[in-house]
Amino acid sequence: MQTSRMLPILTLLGAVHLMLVIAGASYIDLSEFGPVGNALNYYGEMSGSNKSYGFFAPGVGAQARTRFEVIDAAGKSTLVSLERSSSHEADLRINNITGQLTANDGEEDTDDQDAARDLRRSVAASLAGKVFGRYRGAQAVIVRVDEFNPVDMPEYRQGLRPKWEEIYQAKFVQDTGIMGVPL
Amino acid sequence: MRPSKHHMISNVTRFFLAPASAKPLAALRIGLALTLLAQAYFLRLEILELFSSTGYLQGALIHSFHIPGTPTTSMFAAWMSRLSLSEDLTILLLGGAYVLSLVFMGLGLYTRASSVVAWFLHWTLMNSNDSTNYGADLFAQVFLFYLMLSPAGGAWSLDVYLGRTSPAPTSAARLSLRIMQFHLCIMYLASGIEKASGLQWWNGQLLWRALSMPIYKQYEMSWLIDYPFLTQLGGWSTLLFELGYIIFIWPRRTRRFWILAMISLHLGIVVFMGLGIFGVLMAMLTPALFGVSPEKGVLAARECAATTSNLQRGLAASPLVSSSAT
Repeated sequence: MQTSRMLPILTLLGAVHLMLVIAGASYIDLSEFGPVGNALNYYGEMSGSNKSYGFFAPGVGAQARTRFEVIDAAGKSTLVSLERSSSHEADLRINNITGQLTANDGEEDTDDQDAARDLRRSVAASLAGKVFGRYRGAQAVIVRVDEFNPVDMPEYRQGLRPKWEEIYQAKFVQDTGIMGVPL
Repeated sequence: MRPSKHHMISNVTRFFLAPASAKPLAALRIGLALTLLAQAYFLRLEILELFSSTGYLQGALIHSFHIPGTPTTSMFAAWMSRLSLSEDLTILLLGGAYVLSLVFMGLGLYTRASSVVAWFLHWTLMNSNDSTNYGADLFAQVFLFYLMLSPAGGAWSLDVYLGRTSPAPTSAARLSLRIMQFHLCIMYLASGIEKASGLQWWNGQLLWRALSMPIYKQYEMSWLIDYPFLTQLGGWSTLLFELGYIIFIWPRRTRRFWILAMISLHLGIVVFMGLGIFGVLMAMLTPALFGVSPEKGVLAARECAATTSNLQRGLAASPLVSSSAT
């Protein structure tokens, strides 16, 4: 078929694609529309047309960081992080992974809460395992997640300063798994 | 048919389908390839940590962060294990193929094939660990998909130099360009509306808070406390540029200013928030798609007009154009 003959079809497909982009940007979940919706959703995954664009919107919330307290056989502890500062791009992605330790904190459904807690514990164990791998002499690793809440300008003028606050902690020892429980 | 309708159809047809040079698409192709190659370089030491089941998310846990039903590195690893290739080697091979496809895509060599491979492998890597993705990956995915389908090898490419692809203006290039331009407009409008719904963008708190976040903090900016109007101005400007994009990027009078505004906005993100890849990728999109002319001079423009007229006659009978005219 000649390209010029296909142009109306291509134009129509382009229009449909842009409709899907609008639906994605409007947070419309196409999977609610049965098999056709599922197919469109899959197309959205392939093309990126199902994505939304709420970067830094409606505002900036808290930031989490994860650090690991490595305890050796002599009981000496050292605070380390997974980020190796090879590049900011790499550190950003590692921060996204460790951010899973605070993901889905606000789940209201009990089953979802349980699933989120199980996932957090698995992620914490996995990250601790990675730290054990990097620090061969470690006897125990404590995963510590802190949260940074920025302070608004009026509060800052009154002398309030932002600070890190611990929101999650789990201790892992060689061979025996989790010793402590999250805060 | 009344002249006004005829005129409208003619304008709409010309707007979407008048043959255009592939130069804007080529600018996007080269810019995206360079940005993603830089990203691959920055992540070269972490690829196994991010995607392997012996990385940060160990064992079966990595599967919890796969996007269901989509190709992943684990899937390839399972296939390659039949050839006695390890998971790590499989991921390194996929990463190598991805980099190679970006090099070919950037050079415009086997442009269509390399764009397909780059899109597919980028998608595969995104699906393999959803927890690590962020905005830069999303936009790369969107525009790799478009490049794969558009005639992006029709300008500034080795394919043209070697005579494998014609540099002649095509309707497909114009249509591809328009779809990408509209996508950018929708994206900035949606982003602007969401931002405008939050008080922080209006009262100047957003920039103040964002610049104080340790993950983004590049410089000591607490001096801004004495100049609150600067953070407020920054918030309002961002809203203006994003919400106004869909209107002011089109007229020639305002286009140049809006292109400069979007470049400044995104380079500001690079400088003040350290989001290098994201900022550069975003800063590149608007000048590539709105700043590079798709016209090829007067002669080509005349040819465009003639072809458009022919196309219009053909399209007038089609359901698409008929419905828009009624």
